[in-house]
Amino acid sequence: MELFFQVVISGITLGSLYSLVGLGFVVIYRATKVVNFAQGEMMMLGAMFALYFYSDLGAPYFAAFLLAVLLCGTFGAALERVAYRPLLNAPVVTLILATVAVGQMMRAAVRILRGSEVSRFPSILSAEPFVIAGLTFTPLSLSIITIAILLVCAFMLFFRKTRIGKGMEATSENRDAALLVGISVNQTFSLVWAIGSALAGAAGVLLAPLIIITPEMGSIGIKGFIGAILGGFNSIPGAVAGCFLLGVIENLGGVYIASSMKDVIAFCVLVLILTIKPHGLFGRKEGKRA
Amino acid sequence: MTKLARRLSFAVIATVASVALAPVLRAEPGVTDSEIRIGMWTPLSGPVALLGQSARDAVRLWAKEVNEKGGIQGRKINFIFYDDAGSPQEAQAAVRRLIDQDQVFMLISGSVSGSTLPVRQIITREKVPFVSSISSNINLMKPFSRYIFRIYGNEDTQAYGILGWMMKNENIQRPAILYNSNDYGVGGYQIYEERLKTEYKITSVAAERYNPGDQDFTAQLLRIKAANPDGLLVYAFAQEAGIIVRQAKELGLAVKLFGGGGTSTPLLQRGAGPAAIGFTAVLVVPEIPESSTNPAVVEYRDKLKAAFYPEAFPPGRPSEYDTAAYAAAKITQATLDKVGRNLTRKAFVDMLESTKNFETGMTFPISYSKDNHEGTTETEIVRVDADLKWQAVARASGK
Repeated sequence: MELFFQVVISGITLGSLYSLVGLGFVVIYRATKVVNFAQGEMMMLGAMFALYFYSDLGAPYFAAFLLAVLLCGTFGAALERVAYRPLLNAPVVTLILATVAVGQMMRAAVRILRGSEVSRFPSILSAEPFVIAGLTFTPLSLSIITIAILLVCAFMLFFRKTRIGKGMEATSENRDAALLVGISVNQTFSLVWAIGSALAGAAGVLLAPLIIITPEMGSIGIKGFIGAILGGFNSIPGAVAGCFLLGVIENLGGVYIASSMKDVIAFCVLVLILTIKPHGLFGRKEGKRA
Repeated sequence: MTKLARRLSFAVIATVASVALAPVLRAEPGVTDSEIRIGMWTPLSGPVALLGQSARDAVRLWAKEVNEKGGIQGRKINFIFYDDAGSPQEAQAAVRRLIDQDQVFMLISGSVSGSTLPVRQIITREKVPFVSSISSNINLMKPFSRYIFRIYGNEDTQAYGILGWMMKNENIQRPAILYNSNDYGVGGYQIYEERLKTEYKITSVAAERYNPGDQDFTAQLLRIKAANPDGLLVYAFAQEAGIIVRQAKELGLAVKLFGGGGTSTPLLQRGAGPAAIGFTAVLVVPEIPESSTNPAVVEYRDKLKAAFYPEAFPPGRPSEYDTAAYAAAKITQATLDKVGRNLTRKAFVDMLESTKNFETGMTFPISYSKDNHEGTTETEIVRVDADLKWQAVARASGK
């Protein structure tokens, strides 16, 4: 039983990071109908920025975190302006492919700049494990879960409660109507890309001390996408829950079925759930609006 | 119809004539009065670019030195290299181009196993000598090819080295293994299982695998922890091993950690940090190229710096792929010298096969024979010390 709970805890740690990336996927998707496949690379970039500010420039952790997230957000908005807005009237598939291309470019650029360097993000909190009731924790993983959950909650409140958040919601419901009531669609789109990218960047900074920083680390970002689909791509709380669930399912499958099959197991669960509930576990059915 | 027939017959005659006359008209490929063409395909971009850039620089440096001294037996080295980005398809295209278009005399270094195994058939069929200095896959020599030679210990040798150390010197009673599900990891795992059974008469308490590119090993490590081992062999590449070492510590898996040949690079500590202290692994060369004080390695480092990196070395350089490729070039040079002016591929292979205990100063002594092209069965056991530096611990020998 101890093993079971240990596995669940590890799953939640991963799930909290998936949920940050997943939230970014959903935010961008809801407003623009684009699945941003460069989220993983944005995550990698977040980690790279934080590493640069913290390790190379010696900035305090909090400042490095904030700067990295802000830079990712700015970069996301800039990408929207340069790479995605010109394609606004193209089919959505074109835009999605554009995000794939942008992701590849980011990965290649980092590889060229840093070569094959492998870096470790120094842990801010101790990674020394301690045991409570037979379960192993580290201050590091606990802090990551806490920060990730706080960030997710903060952004969910932002979308619900603030004017800007409501404007984004309105744009996603009906672009033309939003324009008619005086919401600047262009501005909203910039904002959406900025927030989506900032979320991925934050996930990257938090993930950094758990794995190692390489240009390829972004490949884990796709898990946020899968988690969001699992929970329901059109519901923010659903997507977040789905991401946590994915983290836990992966680890349970890995421990109790076969460790090298954990991705396969996660995908099987995804297919199964989508067969029964096509809009995800917590997603609502979306009618076609005029 | 008649037109076509005429054209066809002309083509047939032309082909027959060229084939018949070829041996007379064409000299040995890649050798002229004034030059010897040597080719390399290797990853210069992509995730494994470090390996290829090391090998390329080493051979380029060597060619420069040789040419400045007037070449070998009056012939300059013309070194041609292509980037395969670690991809088997690009490797095949590059090797075809080197053999057909550039008509190289021989090949050197090669690429990672995944991009070297797919071209071993072409190389053997075309009878092009190839001195390999990256791939340690045992299948490179299976079936035996007269044209392929290896510089350092193959996977079997490496696995024997670290397993012997782990079981005999560190007296591990309850071993476990975590391995990559690619050829490299599975190869290591098979030797581990077989040796435990036949030689040490015990069974592994846990054997877990992961997939290339995985970044989270929690599930595997928790299963291993539940089996309560006293030593864990990590058969992974350094980047993955870096995460594994750290996550093992974070999950409270406090056992002795060992690694295969893929882990003994400075990339391990860069990824793992202080968690890597005490990690013991097998190294295919006797010297750690980044920090060795061995004169041959120091000399190489200085020359490399002066030639290509006056500012500073890129991270991870020089690596053992530097020194292995340089050693491959040195043994090539010695063999070309011995063969002399009447250089043919056959003469080169025959001469290379007569090599006995060739000392390069940066690899183990290399010996070849008519039926063994493995070069050496020696390896070094190295360990990460408290300053996060690899230190040599002992020499591990052969099967």
